[in-house]
Parts: sequence; structure tokens; C-alpha cells
Amino acid sequence: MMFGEFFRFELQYWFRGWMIYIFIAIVSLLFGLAAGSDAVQVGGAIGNTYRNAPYIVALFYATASSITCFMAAAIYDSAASRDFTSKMADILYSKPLRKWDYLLGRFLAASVVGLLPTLGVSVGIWIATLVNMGDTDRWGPLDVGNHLLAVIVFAIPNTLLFGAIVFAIATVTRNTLYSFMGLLALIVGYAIAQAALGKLEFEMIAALSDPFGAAAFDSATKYWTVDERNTQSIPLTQWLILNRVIWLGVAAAIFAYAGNRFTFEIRTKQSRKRRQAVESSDLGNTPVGLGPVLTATSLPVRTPVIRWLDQLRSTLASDVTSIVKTTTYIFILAFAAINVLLGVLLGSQEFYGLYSFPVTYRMVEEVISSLAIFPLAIITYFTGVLVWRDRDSRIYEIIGATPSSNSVYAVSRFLTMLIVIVPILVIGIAAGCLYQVLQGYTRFEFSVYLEELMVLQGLRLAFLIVIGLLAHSVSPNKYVGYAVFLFFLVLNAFLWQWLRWDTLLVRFGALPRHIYSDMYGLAPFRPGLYTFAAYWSFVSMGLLWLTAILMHRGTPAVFWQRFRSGLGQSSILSRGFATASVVMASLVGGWLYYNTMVLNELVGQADREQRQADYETTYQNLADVTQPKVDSIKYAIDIYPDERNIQLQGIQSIVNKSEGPIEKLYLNVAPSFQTEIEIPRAKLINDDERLLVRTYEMTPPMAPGEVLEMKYTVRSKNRGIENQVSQTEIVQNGTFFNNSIAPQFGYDSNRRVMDPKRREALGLPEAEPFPVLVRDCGDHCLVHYLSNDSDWVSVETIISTSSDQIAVAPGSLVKQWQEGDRNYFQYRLDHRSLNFYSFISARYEVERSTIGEVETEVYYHKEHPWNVSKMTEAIKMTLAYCTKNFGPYKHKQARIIEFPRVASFAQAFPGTMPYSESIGFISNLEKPDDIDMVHYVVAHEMGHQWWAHQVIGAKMQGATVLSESLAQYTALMVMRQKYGEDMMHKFLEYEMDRYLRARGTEQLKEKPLVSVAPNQGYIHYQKGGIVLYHLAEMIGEDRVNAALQSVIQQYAYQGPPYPNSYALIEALKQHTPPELHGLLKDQFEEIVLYGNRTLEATATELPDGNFQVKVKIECEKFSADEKGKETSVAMDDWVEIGAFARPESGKRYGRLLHKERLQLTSGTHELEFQVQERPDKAGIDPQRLLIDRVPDDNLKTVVIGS
Amino acid sequence: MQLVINNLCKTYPGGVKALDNITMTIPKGMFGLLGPNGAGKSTLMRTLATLQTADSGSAKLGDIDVLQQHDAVRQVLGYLPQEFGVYPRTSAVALLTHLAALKGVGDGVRDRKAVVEQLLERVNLTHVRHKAVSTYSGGMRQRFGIAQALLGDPKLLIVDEPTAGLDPGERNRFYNLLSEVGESIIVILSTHIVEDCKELCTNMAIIHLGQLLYHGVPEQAENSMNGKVWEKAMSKVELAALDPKLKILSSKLIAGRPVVRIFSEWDPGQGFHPAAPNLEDVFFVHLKAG
Repeated sequence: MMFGEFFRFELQYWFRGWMIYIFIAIVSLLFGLAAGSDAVQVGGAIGNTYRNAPYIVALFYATASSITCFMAAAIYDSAASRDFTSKMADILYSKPLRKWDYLLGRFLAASVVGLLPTLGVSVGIWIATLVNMGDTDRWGPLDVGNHLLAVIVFAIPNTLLFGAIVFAIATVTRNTLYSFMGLLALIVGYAIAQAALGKLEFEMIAALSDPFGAAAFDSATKYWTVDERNTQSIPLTQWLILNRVIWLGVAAAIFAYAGNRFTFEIRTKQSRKRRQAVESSDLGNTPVGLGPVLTATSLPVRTPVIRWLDQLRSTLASDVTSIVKTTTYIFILAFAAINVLLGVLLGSQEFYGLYSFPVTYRMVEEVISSLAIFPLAIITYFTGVLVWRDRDSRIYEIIGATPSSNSVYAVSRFLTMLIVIVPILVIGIAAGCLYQVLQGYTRFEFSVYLEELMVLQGLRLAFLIVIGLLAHSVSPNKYVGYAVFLFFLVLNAFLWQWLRWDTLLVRFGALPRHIYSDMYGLAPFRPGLYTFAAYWSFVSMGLLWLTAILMHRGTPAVFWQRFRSGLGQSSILSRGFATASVVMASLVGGWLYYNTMVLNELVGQADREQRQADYETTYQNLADVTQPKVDSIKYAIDIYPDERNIQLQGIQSIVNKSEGPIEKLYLNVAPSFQTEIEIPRAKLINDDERLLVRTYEMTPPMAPGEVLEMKYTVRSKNRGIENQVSQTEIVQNGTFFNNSIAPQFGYDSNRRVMDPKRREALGLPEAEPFPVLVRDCGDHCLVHYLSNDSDWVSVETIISTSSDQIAVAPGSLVKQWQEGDRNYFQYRLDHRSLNFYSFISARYEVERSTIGEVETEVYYHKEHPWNVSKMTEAIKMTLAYCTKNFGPYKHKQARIIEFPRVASFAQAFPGTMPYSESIGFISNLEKPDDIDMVHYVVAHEMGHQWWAHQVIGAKMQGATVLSESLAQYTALMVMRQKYGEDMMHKFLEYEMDRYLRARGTEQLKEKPLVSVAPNQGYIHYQKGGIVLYHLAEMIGEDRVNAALQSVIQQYAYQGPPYPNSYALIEALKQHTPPELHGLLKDQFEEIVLYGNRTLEATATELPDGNFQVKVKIECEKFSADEKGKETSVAMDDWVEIGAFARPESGKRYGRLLHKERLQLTSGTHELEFQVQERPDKAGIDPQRLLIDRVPDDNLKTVVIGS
Repeated sequence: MQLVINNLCKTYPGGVKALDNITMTIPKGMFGLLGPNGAGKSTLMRTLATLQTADSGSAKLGDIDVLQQHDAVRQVLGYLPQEFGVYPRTSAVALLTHLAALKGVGDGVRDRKAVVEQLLERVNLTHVRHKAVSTYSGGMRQRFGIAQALLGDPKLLIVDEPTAGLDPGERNRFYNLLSEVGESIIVILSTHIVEDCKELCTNMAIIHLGQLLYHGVPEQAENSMNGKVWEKAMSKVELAALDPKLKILSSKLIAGRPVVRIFSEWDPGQGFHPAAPNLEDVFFVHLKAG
């Protein structure tokens, strides 16, 4: 009865307010957009899955809690503490209430209301579904069941959990602040736990410890394919259920505890005591007599400026004190410190669980990503507190009547926010330095910290502060102010992208992207960064002026009244300031407009796509038109690092290798470069500047076999400031561009739009990403997949650069000289190679060494010496392995060249391997247990010297098997040679994880290995590596290598025609015993997955000290289609069983005690074997060689009986 | 210097006329603004204190246009709002020093400190000057309020219902302080307690529902009522049966018996006997007429 009354009253309270509706609207909008567009992403991209698939619904609900918990917290907190804050408690608690009726009534009603914002997820998705009703390719049916299940599994328990925590803290402490702190602590703790448990080994702990349940959900669905995502509802795995039970239990316990502590007692003793103390001293008060005449209070004659400064100083002191003394602020600082420390401690992990040296730019990135939320939280919260401070403490009439200009308050509030933000940034810098010290890294680059954090990050925050202050100044009250601010943030983040307005001039506070590199610093980005910063500073000054005009001063008044009165009261100085801001913003904005849109061409996303589409429709018929091929090239290249300019001149012989005459030449020229072309007898008949294609007519036509000499010049044109710095390949130190900037013959199918959804939107027909695999290809195999217009070419280069830099081009260095203040180098290829290489110039240190006839060179930035010798060693090992097993190396040098982190890959060119500074040069390989990424990447790239640069696949699906998969295999074998089996397990575990995860987010179709498309890295790298490693285990490394050697013998430097992936399969077949041909077919030509697991593992100790191991295993095999739909197939395959010893402390795996290969069929099997030591784990496929849907259940801990 | 108000109007968005064509002149000295709750007193005072805009009309303080030249008004203004709070955890000294800075008082920090000490001494808060103002009792807080209003030697002092909630002793002390400064400047004091006006003010106005009902000197107002106020003590039964035609000014309980005062140009009979008019009678006469 009484319970019902409280419940009903509470519900009424909320439904009559506006807050709950705003909350629901915000969540609906956010998740509606997340489902309906790619501009907003929640919990990762949706990919090929239905945009309203059950998986997406569940994922959204699992992720939503981290956003909606704050809304729920506001509701619970209000429900718990409203009686105190509104001083209703005095009246209410004197009534004969029953405690649990009161608490439960309030709590449950708040729970109902607190759940509502989260339900906005469904509202959003439903609206998006209804809007897109017709689009059945991307939208599934509207179903209620899965939404309901997601609400039950995620929304309700999460709401109750946060509710219990907030309600409990608010009831016990009767202080709003502490409940928000409690929630914040929980979330920070959660984030820390998840980051700490990022390694694969800790996955289950992470799944249980996540109060939102998202980690458990992720762990249960991480290998889901598109089909599963579209059709399965939330998998109620034991971990997910356990997680939910644990956290609901926690919620119940917290609520019960708080309920027991709660009493209807009003605690005011302390403050009353204090007041009495003050009052009693007042009693001895004598009546006020005539005091001294107050001459000193008269206004001195002072200049307005001094008075203004004086007022500002005092207000600033008052404002700053009002924030820094609050518990909220101190708590946020403390959390920020903890978070950033843990961020730098844990976050510098790269892939494969590897750590990097703490170079300053990495620290800066970690600091920014782990701090980001805190300055934002401070700005969001405290701009409101500041603007409404006088109103909230009810002193506004006194303050308002003082002869102080509004500008005093606007400026003071702005400066206050800056001042309170600074400690956070200082904490960030301190944390970064501390970590560097702990790691024994002493090259502190304070200038980098200062510029990145204090200046650039500081500017962004300053702009945000202005918006925060403005949001509250335009709003009639604090809550609307907060809503306006958050709405603006969301709008500013997404609107422009959605409108496809790419210019940064409209995106408030936006600075161009920049990438710091140890090699060039920020040099290429500074002009743009600081000009845009100036522009936004002037805009912000104008907006700050507006906040002063709109200031809430005196009696509350509506917007227009405030605006009129503020404008009317503004001084000449103030108006001058506003005018100056507008004028300066316009001037700088105009200058930027001129630079980014007139001097440079701003090609937006939409425009770029449209051009790609037009290129395809206009020129695709050229795909079959015969064009000449490039045969030999002489380059003369000049690099001007300081001006960020290059000039490339080429003289190349072109040959008509076809049997007919060539009448027209079609040449693609590079965007953002100026290109001049000269071909004998050729007349330019069409210059398509928009699509960058030039058409020449040959009179007379080029005869079969005829050779012509073509000349061209390509110049970069660095002109002023760009919207986003393009051509990051041309920089002050670390210029790195490849030969594709030269004109290319024919139709370039790589320029097409490939995303099927974008293709549809642009009205393009469906397209295969790559020519379809044809087994006996003949005429289809006349071009290889790296270049349309060349086969094996000879190259000679003269390259010049500034006097402090070394320039590198393909081949051996023939000559080196100085001319004027420039360095010149002449290089020549020793063997004809693919027309695919790069030119590089930077201030390098070089480590040289030789192995046999080959000179190894590592060109590195002098601050990155750590792994250079390891790289040399890896080159040598791979060179030795490949030469021995595959065939001779045809170059006289093997170079690794560091390039700036504008890209983070390593790439293999003939004899040269550019390697990004971000992925190896700074890896910390000091821990012996970690995977040696550097060795692995070098071995992979060296492998390419055979697999790609000797044997290159024809341009059709499966081509990358011959290059990427075999380079991966090479790397795995070289790694195994160096580090042994144990390390390989760890490595393959990551590879398996990546493959299984990636196939779930496939945008197109998962292909079997044999017909993999070039963009399906997870297939040709991860699956390819696993499959070939497995094969080497099954038939022996020697046999695999013999097969590969035969491929080299047959195809090295051969073509056209070029081999396709069947060339490899045929060769492997020759060296595989017939009973395993099925395996080859399964692994290469099908998509096969296993569901092997161990059900029981027991052992008994035998009298002779050996152990008899019994395992009960279950085998299952699936065949998957392109969309990941799996069907069970009968299994009859060779599989290993085995056992491991207990691992040494600190190791993940023990010694492999036993392994035997058995032919197993689907179903359960009970098997026995003997081992000589006490087994720790036993089961099926102990080395995880097969692609298994759940690799973790392959082994079970052995129960030792008597 | 005097404050001249002409045809001042203010209507709130809900349609409530807070100021309805107010015209009056306020000379130097204490000026009492009398009216029941919701009469428009606070609106008028806030408007004069530049905290609110008027819809039409004008107000001039000497040469200063109060409605336009906010900063000029604020330079000479001392304002004590009807209700005010203070920043939490802030001592009287700190807060007063801050307000002194905002008012432009004193040359530098040291000078300002002397001013603040002097003022606190004057309002007798010296012994608690380092305590947070938020912990003060009502009277102390009000004295702090007057201290801040006196900062900067104001020419116009506006105090809005300053004695609400004060005990009689506090009230007396407060009025002593006010009258002391009220000798040389314009002090506008709003109240709904008639006695306050009589005790303190040389001039007064009565406003009700936004309209100016009376404007003049308190004694004159009383004198004008001479012989027109009649009084009678009666039982509650008699009170209930009282002639409805009588213009009742007030009905008060004295020792538990209702004493009714009426306004009448001639002797009303019925046991009423003449009474000396007081300001309260003036107030009620105007209120009922309006």
C-alpha cells in the first residue's frame, strides 16, 4: 500500500518532467544513427551484417549501458537524495513510514524510469528499420524477441547494478557527489581491468569482470560469421550467465547493505553545532554605535582598464578556488592520474602482446587516449557549474549590481577552465615521463610533450571551453545548458560528415590531422595546424564575446532580452573586440579558404567517390585494349626536402608486345602532381583532367615489336595550406614515394569503388573485386597483379637530395657524388625485376654487413638504434633459409629502410624493404617470452624476395597465395628455427584468433585460400600461414620446401604468362602422399572448420612411473559458404592427439610429452596413450593446427587418478 | 541628487503587471516603499538596481539614466536583495574583499583590506570575520549584507525587506545602521511592516498590484486621517455579525478579543470610539481603495 504510493508518486514525478524524454530521445537518436549510417559507430563497424541483426541489437544493448548508466545514475541519485536536497526530509521523515516500502518504492520506480533511456536503443533501431523497410539486403525483419532478450540480458541487470550502487551511496552519504564518484570509479576500474586483461590468456577473467556483460558477450560471439550474426540470438553461454548472476548478486548485496544502514534520521548535528558556535559569540554584541566615517570606501579615481584587471583578478581567484576545492575536481584529477598511469603502463602494447620502447610520441598518444575523457568531463561539468555559480549560490543579485562588466566574468570563466585543465595535462606529461624513466628511457622530449599536449591539445580544449560557456549562456538553465553542449558536440562530430562537407572551416575547433614522426617531427603539418588554430581562436574570441553579451545577470530573463540588454550595455571597447574577432576570423578564414579551396583542390569524400565511379564507367572498356609495356627505365629524380617538393624525370622504353598495332595510348597520371609526357609520334587528343587520363593518338600506329622511347616529368606542387595535408610521402626528413606516381598505361581497376554498399549507392553494378580465378589460364594470365603495363624491367636511377640526406633507389649503388650543396646517387638494378619500387630520402645512419655475396644494409633514424642488429640478423637467417630451400637470391644487396610512420607497414621491393618506424624499429624485444615481431616481419618481407619478386601471381583471385601466404610460411619457418615450437604456439594462437574474428566482419564473401582476393588479408596472411604450417607438420617441412623449390624453378622471373594459385597446389600435391590430398583440397579449395573438443582427460600412474592417459574427445567438421553459413560434414581426417607437461613458472606451455596422429571420424572417441612424465593437459589437436571454431576446448587439464 | 521615476511599466510574460505606470520622485534620505507581498516592490527595486529591464518609462538618478547607463548606476549603487546566498566555504573577509574588488573599491589589495576590516567592524562582524558567511545566523548575514551594500560609498542604497526574519533586537540595530547612512544619500527601503516606515522614513510610497497608491511624508499621511479612524473591541460573535457596510481597516486580537478599526468620515456609532490614526491605517485605507 505504502510501497505502491511511493512507487506511483516517483513514476509520476519523472513522467511529468522533461528529462526522461530528452534521455530517451538522445539514446534513440544515437543508436538510430549507429544502425542507419556508418557515420556513427557504436562498438565497431557493422560490416556486411544486417544493420538490425540480432547480433547488432545485442551488441548495441551491451554497449549502451556505458552511456546510459550516467542517465540512470541521475535518475537514481535524484530518487535517493531528492528529499534531502529539497529539504523535504524534515516533513517526510516525521511521518510514520515503513523503511523498506519507502526504499523499495523509490528504487523500483527509479529502475523502471532508469531503464527507459536504454530502451531508446530499440526505438532507434526500429525507426531506422522502418525508414529502410525496402532495403532487404541490409535490413532484416523487425523482430521483438531479440530486443526483449537483449533487454533482459543487458539492459535490466545493468540498470539495476548501477542503480543499486548509486542509490546505495546516495542513501548512505546523502550526497549527490559521492554517488557519481562511485559510478565513475566503477567505470574507470572496469576500463582498467579490460585494458589489463587485453591479452588472450586473460579473456575469461575479462569476461567475468565486466559489469556491463559486454566482454562476456564479445567472447561468446567473437568468431561469429555474418550468417550467425544475422540469425542467432544472444548465446547464453555459461560465462555470460555467470557474469549476469555475479553482477546481479553484487547489486542485490549493495542494495541490501544500504537498506540496512538507512534510517529516517536527519543528520544536521554537525552544522548546527557550528552555527551555535558562531551565534553564541554574537550574544555579547554591543549595539552598533556610530562608527568611523567611511572615507576609505569611496571610489578612487582609476582607469577603467585597471579596474577591469582588478575585477578580473579577484573573480578569477574566486572562480578557480570554487572549482579546485571541490571533491569532484580532486576526484577527477585522481582518477585521471590513475587512468593515465595505467594507460601508459598497459597501453603501449602492440599486436601479438608486444611492447614498444616509450618514444615520446607514443607516450603522447597513450596520454591523449587515456586522458581524453577527463578534460572533457571537467569542461562539460564545470562550465555549467561556473556559469550558474552565482545563481546557484543565490548571490547573483549582489554580484549583478556591482559596477563590473560582463566581460570580467566571461574572461574569468574561460581562464578558470583553462587553469583547471592544465593540471590534467601536467599529470599526463608527468605520467609519460615517469613511464619513460621506469623503462630506463631517458631521451625526454619536453618540446614534443609541450607542443602536442599543452599547445595542440590545449587549443582544442580551449575551443571546447568556449562552446561549453556559450551553451550555458544561451540556455535558460543548467540542464538545458548541458543538453545543448552535448548536442553540439554530437552535431559537430557527425553533421559535417553526413552533409559531406569536408572543409575544416565549418567543423568547429577542427585542426587538420597530423602524424608526429621522430624523423620529421611535425614539420609538414605545422603551417596548417597553426593557421587553423588561429582561425578557430578568433572565432572562439567572438563566441566568448557572445557569452559575455548573453550573460545571466540579475533577474532571470529570456534569451532575446539578455541579448538586447547585453548588447545595449556593451562598451565601445567590447564592440571593438567583437568586430576585431569577426574581422580577424574572416581574414584568416578567407586566407584558409583561398589556400585550401583555390590554391589546392579540396576533393571531398563524395567527390572522390564520384570520380572513381566516373572513371570506371568511362574507361572500363579500356581493360581489354592492348597497350605497350614498359621495358627499361632511367630515372633522374630530385628531392627537395625543405620545400617538400620532388621532381621525377623518366626515360623509358615502351614495347608493343602484342601482335597487332597500337593506335591509341591511354595514360593515367597521378593526382596532385603535375605531369608532362612526351612520346614520339603521339598526339594528345584528350586530356581528362578530372579523371586524370590522357589519350594519345599514334600516327602511324605502334607496330608489333616496335620499341619507342617515352619521356615524362612528374613534379609535386606543394602550394600553401591544405585542408588535410596530402602527400605525406614528401616530407622534410623521410620522403618515401613509389614509382606509381609515374604515368601508367591502360585501365587501372584498383581505382574502382569496391565497397558493395557504396557501389550500389553510386549506381554501379555489382563487381568482383578481382578477376575470377581460372584454372588453366593461358591468355588470362598475361599480366601480374602488381602492374598492368610491365613485366620484368631494368631500372637505373640518378637521385639527388639535400646535402644532409641519403637517397635510396632500387639496385646497387654505382656512384655517389656531391654537386653544389646536393648529394647525388646513382643506382642500377642487378637483375630485371618487377616495376614496383620506391625512392627514399632522409638523414640516415646505416648499418652494413655482408653474407656471402650479398651486402645487407639497415638505414635507420639515429634515435632508433635498438633493433637494427636484430634486423640484420633476421635478413641473414632468412636469406640463408630461402637460398638453401628455395633458390638463389638475385640481388647484390638486401636493404631495410626506415620510413616515417605516415604509414605503418613494411613492404618488399626488389632487394629493398622499407619498414615503418612505428612497427619494429621501436619494438621492445627485451622480454624473452614475447613474440619477436621484428624478426617475423623482416623474415616475411625477405620471403617476398622469392615470393612476389621471383614468382609473381597472375592478376586474378588467389594471386596473393603465391606471395603473401608463402612469405608468411617463410617467416613462420624462420621463426620456428630461431625460437622453437613453444613460441610458434603462442604466435599461431594469435593468428587463429585474428582469422576467426576477421571472417565475421567480412564485407564481401569469404573465399577459400585458392581464390582469395588481394584485400582479404585475414585469409592470405593468417589462414595461409596456419594452413601451410599445418601442412609442414603433416608432410614435413622438407617436402613442402621441395614443392616450393619446384615452383621457383618453374616460374622464377618467368612470365607472361604468370602462374596462378593452382601452380602451388599442383606442386604441393606432387609432394604430398595421396591419403592427404583430401587435406589439401579442404584447406585450399574449401572453407573448412573443425569443432574438436576434449570432453574428459584422466591419467593413472603406472608402477614403472609412466602415466596411462585416457582422453575422451569429440570430433566435428563443418564446411562454410561465402557468408559463413556452416553445414556439418562427415569427418575422416588425420588429427593429432597428445599431452603437455606442466609449464615452467612464467611459461604458458609445458613440454609436449606425446603426440600421435590418428585418422578420426565425426563423433566421440575414447583413446589412450602412455607418457613418461606427469601430464598436465591432454586432448585433441594439442598444437592447434586445425582451424577450430573454439580452439580453447582442445585440451583439458588431466585428472590424475590412482 | 534625487531619483526621478516616470511612467515606469513592467509586465511579466504571464500577464502580471508588476509595475503599472509608476511615477514618483525620491529625494535624499530614507524612503520607505510599503506594500503587501507581491505588490511590485521587488520588481521596482530590482529595476532601479539594474538587475531587471523595464518595458517602458524612465528613471533618472541625477544625470544618470538608470535604465540605460547600467554601469554608471552600479558605480554609485549599494544593493541588498531581499534574499541572498553566499559562496560556500567563503569567509566574510574573503567575500567582502572580492565584492570590494568588483565594486572597484580601494587601491590595491592592502587598501581594500583596510576598507573591509573597517566595514566589518562597523557592522560588528569582526569577531567572526574569518568564519564562512554561510554559517552565519540570519541577523549576522543581514549585517554582512548591509556591509557589502555600503561598499564603495554608494549614493543610492536599495534594501529590499531587510528585516524579514530578524528578531526585534537585530531589527533595531539594523535600522540604526541604516538611518546613520541615510542622512546623506538616497536610501530606498522596502517593507511590508508599516511601523518600520514610520520609525525610519522621511518619505514613503505605498504600492499595490503594481500601482502607486500613495506617495508622501508619513506624518502627513497620518494627519490626513485624523478623526476618521474608529475602534471597537468586541466578541467573535459580534465580529461575525458586523455591519457589512463598514469600511474595516483591520481586525486585530488584543488579549484574545478582536479589536476592529474602521474608516469613517463621521461617527459610525455602534459602540465605535475615535482612535488616533497610525500609518497602518493609511496603508489599509489605500490598499482597500485601490
